[in-house]
Amino acid sequence: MPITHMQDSFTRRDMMRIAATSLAGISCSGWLPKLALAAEGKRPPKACILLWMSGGPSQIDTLDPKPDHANGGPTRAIKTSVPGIQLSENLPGVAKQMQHVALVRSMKTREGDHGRATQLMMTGYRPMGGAIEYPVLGSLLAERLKPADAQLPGFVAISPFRPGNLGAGFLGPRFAPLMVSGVSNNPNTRADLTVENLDPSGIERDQLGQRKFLLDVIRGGTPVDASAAKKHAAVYDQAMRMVETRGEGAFDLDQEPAELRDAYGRNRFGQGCLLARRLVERNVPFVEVTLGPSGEATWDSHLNNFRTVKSMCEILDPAWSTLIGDLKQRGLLESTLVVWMGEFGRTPRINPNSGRDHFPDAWSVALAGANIQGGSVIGATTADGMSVKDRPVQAADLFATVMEAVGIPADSNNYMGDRPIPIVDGGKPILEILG
Amino acid sequence: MRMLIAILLAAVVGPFTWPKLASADSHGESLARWINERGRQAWGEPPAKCDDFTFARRVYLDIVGRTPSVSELRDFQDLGDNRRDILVDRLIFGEGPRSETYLRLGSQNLARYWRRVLIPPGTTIVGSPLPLENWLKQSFSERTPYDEIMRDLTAIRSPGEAGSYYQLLGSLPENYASHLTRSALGVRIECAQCHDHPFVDWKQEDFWGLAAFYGNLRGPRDALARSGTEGSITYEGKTYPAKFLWTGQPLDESGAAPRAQLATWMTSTENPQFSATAVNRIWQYLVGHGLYADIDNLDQATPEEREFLDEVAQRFARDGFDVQGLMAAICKSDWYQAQSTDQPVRPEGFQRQLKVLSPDQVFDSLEQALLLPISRIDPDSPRWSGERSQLVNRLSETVGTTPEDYASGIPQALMLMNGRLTSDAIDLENSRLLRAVVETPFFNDHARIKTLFLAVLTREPTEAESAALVKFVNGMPEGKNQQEAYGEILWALLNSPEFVLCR
Repeated sequence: MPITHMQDSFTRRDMMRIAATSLAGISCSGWLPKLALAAEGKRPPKACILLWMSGGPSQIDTLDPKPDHANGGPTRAIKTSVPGIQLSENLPGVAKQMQHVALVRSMKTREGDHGRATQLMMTGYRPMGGAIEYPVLGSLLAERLKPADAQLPGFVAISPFRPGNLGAGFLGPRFAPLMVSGVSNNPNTRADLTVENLDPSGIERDQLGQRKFLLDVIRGGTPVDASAAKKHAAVYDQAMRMVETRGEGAFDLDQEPAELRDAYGRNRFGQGCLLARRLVERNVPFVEVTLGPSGEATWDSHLNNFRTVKSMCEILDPAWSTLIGDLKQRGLLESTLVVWMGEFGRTPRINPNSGRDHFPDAWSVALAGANIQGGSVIGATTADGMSVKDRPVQAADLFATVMEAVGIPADSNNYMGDRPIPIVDGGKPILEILG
Repeated sequence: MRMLIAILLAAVVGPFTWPKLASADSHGESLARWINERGRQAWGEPPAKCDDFTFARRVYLDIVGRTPSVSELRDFQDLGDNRRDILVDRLIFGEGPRSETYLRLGSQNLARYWRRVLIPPGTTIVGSPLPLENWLKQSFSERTPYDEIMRDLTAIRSPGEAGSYYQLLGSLPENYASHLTRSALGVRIECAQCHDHPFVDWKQEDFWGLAAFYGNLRGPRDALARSGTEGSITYEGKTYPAKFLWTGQPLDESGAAPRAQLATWMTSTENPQFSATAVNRIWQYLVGHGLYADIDNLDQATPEEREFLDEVAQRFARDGFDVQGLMAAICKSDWYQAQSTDQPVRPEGFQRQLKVLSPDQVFDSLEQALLLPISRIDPDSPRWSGERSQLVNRLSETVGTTPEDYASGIPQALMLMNGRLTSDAIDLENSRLLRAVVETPFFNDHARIKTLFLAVLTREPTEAESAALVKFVNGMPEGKNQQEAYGEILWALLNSPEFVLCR
């Protein structure tokens, strides 16, 4: 992180203002462009963090409890910070942040297979047989929101897991996700949550200059004006810069106070959410954090639903609620949309294995931040949870809402060559929750 | 198949002379001459030919899927005046040394290519594509005519046939029908799935009419069960009968099963869309861009735009849809052998641009260049240890829509820069290539650098490169540091645009 450079572009008054906010309890990672803007009362650019629940979480045991019906199972409902809204007892932390969160309890989609449903919820388009490679949400937003002078990629995916190879599609590799892996669940060492292959092979960072020199020698032998060679050079220059700066220091989680790291949860997802905040502070417009199978627990709860969902929520709840609180405290929640969703919900009926199966007919997602009206609930399911009673919301409607929440017109187009491709597959934004 | 048996027999009998197979025509010479002439009519004089090393790099990559080794390059240079044609015959038809290897690699390479045609990157699939790839490999190794392969794919009687392609695409009739028409006919009808197509004439009857041929095929977990028979399908309350594209010709009610009729119609020598799409794909694969560039929308081409293509296609159909024969003809033509240019693409005339290696080609070329162990029982062999699939999967995340389209991003670059394969390759302890180069006693610095260039880039260094690199090595303290300097040079070669591009 070139701190000295940053200082040059601040006036003395700015510095004093930032110093003042630091005294007011914000840590010294407040030297960041975004935080500085927030501290000055300017509106920072919009960003989005997607908490992706791979496997399809049970709506009844998270956002849409049914304590008075047999389909609710043993899961109880608890009060939240907003009178009249209840969540499952598995989400006590999120319940305290309910004033920032909007629930959509009437998702209605048509894909019940993990792969196809993931494609639908990641791209907003139903899988249609390969005519057009639709970009995933992160690529769509990165393309619109990425600042021109960005040092980091516009789309970072933390511990991604997805079937097939969903990516930037026709938007091209500039908007493909930079993957951050985590090989183990122990995030105390940096290596466990970092960009793959970010450390130079075989040499120290300060020897990278010789590699650049050698690469330049050999590049001289290629037709340098050819478009493929030019693109290659552009990608390599950016990758080289990432290696040199170790990704602008975003991955140095040990710069964060231990208490804050504890609050997020000392696991891959929790630390991933913290990393997401650090990336957003460094002007990355889209970060995706995946909570997939963890140890024995999984959202794909065909077996022992109640035990496994409870375990998943023990990871989810601290991370999600701390992220909302942390963003709020830093003045970033107003510009950062936090989306929580999976590819589908689970059957309200409990199967003979105490499990719940795939269910796209009536399920829930949640939005917070940006100009989302917190403390609200959209739609409802029937008492047994089997169908949407009120205001069905389709995948495209959700996508339109996300676009509008971060300031992108939902009826705008992307272009594949000169052919217009709607950014959203014809959905209508949920105006009731857009402030 | 006949040739394979001949080779197997020959191997048993011992030293043998290469059989003079059929006429020269089966090796594509006369078609190559025709393509040369026809191309002159269309584009004027061809550009100057590429040099021998470039030619070798192209045909090895295009036919056997990897770059040539230093010793293969030496053999090629000794082949005499007709060496380019001879090399093509060796690689495609196995006529010469390493016959079995080249034939095996060749059918594998074609199978991988065709798998990417049938399942373009980014398609959501159910299960592993390996059975399909193996089925294709078997077909190509037997030199099954192209129309027969596509007929088998079209006329499947159950979801598990023909490499389980149907199941891979999610066991959905509409998915299968639209993929088949795209890959076999160069037509995209899938936009008519939900509404009549806004730009072209496809209607929902066309889309669902094709899906109807597969109306009775079900997957194991069909979430949206639709009622249907082989010949009709119901979508949103409306039942669509099976229907061929373009023609109003009804199905023969008393004749063969509807899918068999579809297969016959689709792959007929009378169907110009079928043979032209195949030729267009193979031309694009070899030359970088199709004779008509928008390969999946061939129905949008005007008669003038596809005239040349259609003429090649007629010959391809007449010659029995012989894929290998067509490839040989193209490789032997002046157009394939043209020097690539770094000028921006011109609308008319002919140009060859740089081509991007496929993910499989990148790994197989690394394996060849770095002399990696390949034995299945060797725990260090990256082909089996999972490193191959890691690299191929990572590179497959971003594949361009044509061979001329470089689409890799930062994660791909980082993997080649700092990944395990590269780390091992530039490490003296682990790198066979590096040890061979630095430990060969009679090599001087220039010879070492030249060997690295030949192994990785299939060319000799220019004088300027050689001088700069020797100076770099000599700038290091003698001994271990100088040896390590070669590792750094190898790093730069592997990460240069030339390694992942074919000039």
